[in-house]
Amino acid sequence: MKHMVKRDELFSLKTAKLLILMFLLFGICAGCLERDPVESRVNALVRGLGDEDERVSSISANELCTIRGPAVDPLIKALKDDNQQVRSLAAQILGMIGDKKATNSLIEALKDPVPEVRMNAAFSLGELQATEAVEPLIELLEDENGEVVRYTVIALGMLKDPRATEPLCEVLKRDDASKSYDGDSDMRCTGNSNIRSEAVFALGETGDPRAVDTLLDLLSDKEVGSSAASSLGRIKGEYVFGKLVKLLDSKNPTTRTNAVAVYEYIQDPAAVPILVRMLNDQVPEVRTGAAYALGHFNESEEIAQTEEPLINALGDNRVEVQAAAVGSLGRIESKKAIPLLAELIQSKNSNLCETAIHALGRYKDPEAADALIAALGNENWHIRMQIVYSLREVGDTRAVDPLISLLGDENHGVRKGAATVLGSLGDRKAVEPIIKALETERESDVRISEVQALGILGGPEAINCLSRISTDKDEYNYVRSSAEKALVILNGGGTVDVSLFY
Amino acid sequence: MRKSTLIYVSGIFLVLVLSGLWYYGNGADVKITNMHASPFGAGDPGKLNITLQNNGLKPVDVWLEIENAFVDENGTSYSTSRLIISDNSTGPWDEGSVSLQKPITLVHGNNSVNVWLGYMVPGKYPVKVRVVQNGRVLDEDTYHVNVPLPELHLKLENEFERRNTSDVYKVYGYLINYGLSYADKVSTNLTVTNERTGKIVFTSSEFYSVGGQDKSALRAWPGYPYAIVEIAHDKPSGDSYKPIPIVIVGQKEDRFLLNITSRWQDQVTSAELYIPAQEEGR
Repeated sequence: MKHMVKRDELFSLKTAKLLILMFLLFGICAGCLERDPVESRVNALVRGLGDEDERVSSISANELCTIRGPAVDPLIKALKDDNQQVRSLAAQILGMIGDKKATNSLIEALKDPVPEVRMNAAFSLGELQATEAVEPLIELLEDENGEVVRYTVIALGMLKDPRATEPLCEVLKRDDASKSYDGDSDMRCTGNSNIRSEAVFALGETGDPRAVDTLLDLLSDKEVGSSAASSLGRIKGEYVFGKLVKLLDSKNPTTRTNAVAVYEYIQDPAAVPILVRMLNDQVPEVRTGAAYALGHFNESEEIAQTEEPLINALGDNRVEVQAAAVGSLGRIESKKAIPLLAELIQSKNSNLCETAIHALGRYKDPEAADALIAALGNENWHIRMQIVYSLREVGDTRAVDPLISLLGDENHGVRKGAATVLGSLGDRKAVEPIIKALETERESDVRISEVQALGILGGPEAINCLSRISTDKDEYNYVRSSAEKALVILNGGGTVDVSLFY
Repeated sequence: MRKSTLIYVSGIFLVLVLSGLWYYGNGADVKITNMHASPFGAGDPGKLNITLQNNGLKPVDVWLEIENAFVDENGTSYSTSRLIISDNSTGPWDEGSVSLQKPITLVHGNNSVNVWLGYMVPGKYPVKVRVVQNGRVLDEDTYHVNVPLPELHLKLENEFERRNTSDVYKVYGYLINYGLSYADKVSTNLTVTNERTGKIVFTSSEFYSVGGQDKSALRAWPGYPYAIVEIAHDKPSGDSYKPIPIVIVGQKEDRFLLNITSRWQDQVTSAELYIPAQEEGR
């Protein structure tokens, strides 16, 4: 009996233990098997960042960028990964995702032993607009690696924080700041840049008037002078006005050239008479810059001062000065200049001729349209084509008939342009001639433009023609598909959006 | 063996059996109920539409593994294990919509999934589709894709123009493909025979390519004809007709036969054009 009791006790105790064990095991198994699928996917992708195959790491990075929020914590954790590629890409992606939660971890990553990680962390802090990172980034300007410094400068520019002004000015004084880096190698910057040029740009981004003196000094610099001009243009005008005007009289031609260029960005009326005077400067670059800058003064009292001098500049002995004056006359829509610009279309200098055509295209004036239409008979097909596209800018429907004639031009580029512009001008008078042109037109790109024009102009004849083309087995594939697309839009009813065709 | 040990061993065994049952018994019930691919040509992306039926009540995540989804010009088949393409992707290499990592979530009932296909050479391809979950194949099926051959045709036309004392014929040629598949490196030979003398006066050989249901102009330069035939009634014009490389100059008694033949694999197609045409004042 005693034995039975013992056995019963043992059984019940063991059974209870076993049941508990089973529940625990089930719990563990269920826990493992029911893991959040997003979490496990993110973890797999983070591991993928370290893959030697660039395609795998790149796709993993793209996917993590797409996942965004749920990827942030694992990526923050990955900033401490043993694999430097994982850390570097994690730093990069965190900036792209743009979650400020990553700020502190990225600030820590600025101390990573691997330069690429520091570089990406710095850039990402700029992307995150993390103003709390300004001080650590300023410290990073002392980094031994030039690329890290360059990215830090870029990041500080993105943060637009005036605390960076003085440190950036100091960077400009360094010996190693002129070293060039090939921006194409890293995908984040394009073109060649160096620390100085980035620092000049960043100073413009801060908008801090304390940068003005440094930037004004740099106007004499052949390497970064034009960037300094652009940065000065982004700093509020009144901080620059007085000091800049004085530089227009500098004896240094580089300074004068770059000082003039600032007026493309800021319009100080006090500078107009000086810029007008500079149209007679002995240095052609200065005259060019002055002619170009004067086109940016659009108030009527300013135009009263600039129109005549700019017209006179058309007689300059340098083509680049003439071209700048042509462009500016177009920009201020000088009516007086129209006949002169019309004459310049016949110029043997193609640059001048094309600038004149482009300038006339800026006018919303029948006289400009007449001047362009009159020049459509130019023997150079390239000029004819430019005129055709300028007529689109003018938007005068009197161009329709001359453009219809050009559907039979010997050059396919001109025919294509004529069809395109006829579509843009929207006059249904062009429908029948375009349908006729399609009967004989052999060039696929011209046919596409003609079909697109019919799609824009619409009407029953256009629809019939497009239906025929869309089922023609002997037609070019792209032409057929353009006709199909046009029909879908036309049959859809409502307003035709020209951009749908391109 | 002590009874307590026996109970422990039995218990663990029971746990393992129950775990196994739980694990495998809970497997998704997913079947491939239909597969369909609209006709497409070699060199073009195609889509295989797969209908997957989830007989379970809960959504399940599965992977698709596709064999023979891509075959290159050398006949090499590429595995697209775990390559899933979203419905809104525009091409097979549109990375933004390609995921090597995402499973497909199937809701209860029928689910439609599109998978990209691509073949560089016409032919018949068995596409094997496996539905996989946690390494287990839930279902598999094979769809036979037929990538048709291109259908090549040639067309020659001319435009007549009188220039001073010469008749100038601008000759235009087209390689037309009524089939769906792209035809690359189509060998095209031109022979020009002077009918009056019976002599071949010009030959040329070029390669052209043409897409499916498309045409290619036979020419050296965009905006210019394929060839020029000038019939001079007096002195030839002396025009070089640059940049047109095929220029035939004859006298008023001459008549030229332009014969063009294209070959692509076993297909041969040709076209002829007489200049001047028979009905023109001879």
